Amino acid sequence: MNLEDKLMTYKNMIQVQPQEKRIQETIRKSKETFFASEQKRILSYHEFLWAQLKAIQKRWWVLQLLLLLVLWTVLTSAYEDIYIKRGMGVIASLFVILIIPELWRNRSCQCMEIEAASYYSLKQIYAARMLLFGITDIFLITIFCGTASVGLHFELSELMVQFLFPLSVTACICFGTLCSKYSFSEMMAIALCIIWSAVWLFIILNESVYAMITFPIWLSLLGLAFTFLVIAIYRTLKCCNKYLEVSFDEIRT
Amino acid sequence: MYSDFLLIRKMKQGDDTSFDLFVRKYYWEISTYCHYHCPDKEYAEDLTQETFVRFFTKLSDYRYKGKTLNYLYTISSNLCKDYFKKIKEIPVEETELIGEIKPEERQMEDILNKILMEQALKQLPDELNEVITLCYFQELKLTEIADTLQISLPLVKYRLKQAKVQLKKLLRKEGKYEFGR
Repeated sequence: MNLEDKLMTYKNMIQVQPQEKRIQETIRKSKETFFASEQKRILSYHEFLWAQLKAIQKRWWVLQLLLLLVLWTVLTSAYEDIYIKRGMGVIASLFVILIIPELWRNRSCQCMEIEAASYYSLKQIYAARMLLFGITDIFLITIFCGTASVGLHFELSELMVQFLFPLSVTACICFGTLCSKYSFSEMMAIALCIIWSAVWLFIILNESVYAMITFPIWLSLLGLAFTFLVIAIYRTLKCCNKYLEVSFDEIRT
Repeated sequence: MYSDFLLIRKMKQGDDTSFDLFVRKYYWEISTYCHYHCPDKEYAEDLTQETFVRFFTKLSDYRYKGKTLNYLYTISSNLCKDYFKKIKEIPVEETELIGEIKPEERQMEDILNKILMEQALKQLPDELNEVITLCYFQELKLTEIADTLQISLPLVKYRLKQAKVQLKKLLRKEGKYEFGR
């Protein structure tokens, strides 16, 4: 008898007949173990943020990065052209517009009710998304402003006026539209941002108007924009449940 | 018959029937595997049960990739290794083996073959024994063995070849020992 035959004979001799009693016991214990481990299991904030990060479409961040690269290229190629420098505000508006699809996704996909009934509340989901976008955008803007300041010898005040201020106003428009008492679509937010861009371009390219606004006024305006932004974000988080078809407390399982 | 993907999804949702279906679907395979590794029948049953319990403890984190049985084999394999570590020092009780021998000549030969094979398999290094069990007794494909043991396919082939060579040597040695005694 060769080795294969011996192994086959051995295999045939070890015939296992599972006992029904043991199978039943295994099923019972398996269920008990699973439900016991489920009771202990709580999703940590870290895991929750990670799950939200996976849910966000990364293409918007890539586009934001590309936008900054385009701006960088334009600024490097036309360093002496003051109007192009002032036109940074338009790019700043576009930069913020790119986060609109993600912020409106819950509403445009009609998934508010589902998320409200899930383990984490809508408020937490919005907060997580804003936090993730905030972290990424602050990182990108810091890198951009830092390199523009060092590499292109931009003054910080100039960057603040021509890039951060229009950017903050656009963010205010977005969050303001999102938390408004009327249910505006993302198209409305985009339209308002574009209108703001046009207004900004008119102000900045009109030399007589631009010359009238001194640095302290810009600073105050920026301060105002930041304050409004904080209020708008707070209102968004506070009111995010009101977009449901029925109020949050009336949802029945 | 539900696919594993659906079963796992339903189990994660707490569906009672799916637990039943899942355990019954794989109980025989895991039980057989444990019996090949553990001669103590009661203990082999306990190992089978423990395999499923371990699987269900981590079910929430388990992501289905189409190889649930291989994952169960991996759990079972680890449990059997722990068992081997425990019993390595304990000698085989010959009385237990003698009790099973029947007078018929053919059966005598089979029993002798079984004893020799058990002895030889025990003396094989763990990693070679594992490959032989999965290949010949559980009838897994080489790629499935590679997945289960999380090693490369060439290494599976190498271990299988080595296992056969060593098993032949051990069987010859055991045969001489048994007949010479």
